[in-house]
Amino acid sequence: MTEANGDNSQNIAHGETGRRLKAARETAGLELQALADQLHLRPAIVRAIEEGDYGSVPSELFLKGYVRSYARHVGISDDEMIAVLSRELAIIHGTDDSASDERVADGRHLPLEENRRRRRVMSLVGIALVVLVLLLLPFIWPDNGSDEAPVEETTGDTQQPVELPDRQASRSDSRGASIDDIEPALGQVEVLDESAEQPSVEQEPSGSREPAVTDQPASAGQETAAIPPQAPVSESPEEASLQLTFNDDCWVEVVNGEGNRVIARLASEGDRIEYSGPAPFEILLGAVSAVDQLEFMGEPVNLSDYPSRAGRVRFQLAARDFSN
Amino acid sequence: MLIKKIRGLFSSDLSIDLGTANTLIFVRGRGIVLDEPSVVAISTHNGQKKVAAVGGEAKRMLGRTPGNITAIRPLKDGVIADFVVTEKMLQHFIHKVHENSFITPSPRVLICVPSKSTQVERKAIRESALGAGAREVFLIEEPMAAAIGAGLPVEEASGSMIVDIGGGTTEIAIISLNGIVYAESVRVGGDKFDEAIVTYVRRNYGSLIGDSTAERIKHEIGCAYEGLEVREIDVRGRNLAEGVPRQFTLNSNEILEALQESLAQIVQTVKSALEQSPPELASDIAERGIVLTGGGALLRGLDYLISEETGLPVVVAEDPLTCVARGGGKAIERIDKGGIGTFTHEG
Repeated sequence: MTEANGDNSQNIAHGETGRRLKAARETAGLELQALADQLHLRPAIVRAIEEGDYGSVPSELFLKGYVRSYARHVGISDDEMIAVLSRELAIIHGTDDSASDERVADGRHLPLEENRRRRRVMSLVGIALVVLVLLLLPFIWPDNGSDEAPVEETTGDTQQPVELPDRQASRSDSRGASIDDIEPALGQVEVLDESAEQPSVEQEPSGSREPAVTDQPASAGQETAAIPPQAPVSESPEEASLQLTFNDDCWVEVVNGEGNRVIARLASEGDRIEYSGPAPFEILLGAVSAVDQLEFMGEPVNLSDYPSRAGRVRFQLAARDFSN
Repeated sequence: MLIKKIRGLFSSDLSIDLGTANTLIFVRGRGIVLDEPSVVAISTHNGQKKVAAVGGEAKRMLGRTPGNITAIRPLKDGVIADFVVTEKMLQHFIHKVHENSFITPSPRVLICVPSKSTQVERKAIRESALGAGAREVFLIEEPMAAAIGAGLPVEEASGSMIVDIGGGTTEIAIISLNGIVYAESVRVGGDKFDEAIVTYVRRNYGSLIGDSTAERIKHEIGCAYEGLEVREIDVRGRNLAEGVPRQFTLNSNEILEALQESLAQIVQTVKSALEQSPPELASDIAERGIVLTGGGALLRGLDYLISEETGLPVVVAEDPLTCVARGGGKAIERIDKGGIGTFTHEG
């Protein structure tokens, strides 16, 4: 009874719990059958506990419960017996298959929790990357400016004079073929020189500058194309000339009055680009500082008049602006 | 929706045992992280109500509050009695669990509900959890969670009987193959024990004691079976005749007498559960015994009492107070593994 000061020995022999319980039972003068009746257990189970045959008890929960009530019945401390039993079980599990309940539970917890943590870190990194890309976007954009994208990007923040009906009409006519037209148009650039004929600007409708509509979805163009004013196109095919010189690398795009992208290339230092064709020209310069001089219809254009964004300028030159 | 998902990544899955007396929260991989009384103290200023304290702090205020503060227990008999206050309390607890998180938490939450709770009561619990910021709410029946937490082999094709004595209710269930075969719930629990002690003291000593004192008496000398060691405790209460506080001594046999009626109700329910169980399962239960969980299982001698009354072995689960919350935690893992539904999923 009192020998159960069980917190001393680390290595507890298998069946220690059973031996102590049995000793206590015999001291108390109880028959196995009598005790089993008191505990409402089958004698076989009581015997299994005494012999350390824990496998025949349904589960650890019940084993501990039985040992506890057994200990109380024979008058020894139940907590002490449970402590001894736990150590015994730990040894059994450790040697047997290393699958104690706690370990199984932990094994279940840890990978899941680790997965979650990993997922959390991944998502944090993802969010950080997206934020970084968004922050850097304005700086990266002009360098790899593709054909169409910049048009959308600058919508509305550069206010250029546009001859609305004229441009819309011509665009809707030829927009679909604009890419194919670049080659012949470029060929035209070389052929023509700056002495191209001056267009008859006076014939233009005298309407003042329209607000800039630089971005034009194709459908919108077609809608407006249905509206009568096609006349200016046929009546006054304005012709204008453009001359550009560069002192550094610069991306140049020019869309002529017919909506054809006639120039789209990277000009390098010392290059000279000349073009004449139907006005107005919609010009995009990737690096405004790299442009040495820009002449429109023989007159130099002050590029600092146009708002630039990270060195990038987009504007429109209409012949009328320079005629007076 | 997306924001909730992102917030969810920074929240842990919670299993909440929203009990009448105590609320426990189990976090996967961390164990029981919160164990506080389900009490909220509300202060009123110019007709505006504000939460003054929640949990342990609020419990100390119970019965000791000045005029403008009222300490409320928002749950009664295992179900929500005050919806708004429950929501505030849950919100407070969820935030407390995620103290070090810089993003408002939006966890997945599994809550245990009494097996006999009505649709309305379940919906109230679900709504208040959603209101408290949960991203998804799962409900599990309390005895099921208790059985999983106690370590019963619930998935086996053999019957197990669990008796979960909580603060407000006692849940009795027979479980087999991950399902509840039979469940019964009586609205007797720790609170009823306290009330019985208060009534007993008033009748026999002519003195009035508070609920907290009654609870302390129950914890220290409470007893459910005669023939155990007799213990004594000194108590102070207000004498009803003289109107002044008086000290007197109670012993465990008196408490046993006080608890007699409540205990008889629990025993009766256990017996009727056994009567109604299918014979195969009844034989399994007779072989292994009944498992007790919940705070009531800690009442000295209760396992003896039930064992003697039913003639079956009775086992008290390890750490009976946290069984339900721990079982809920294991159930959440099953959700991730796509296990069979021992719970009802509610968006």
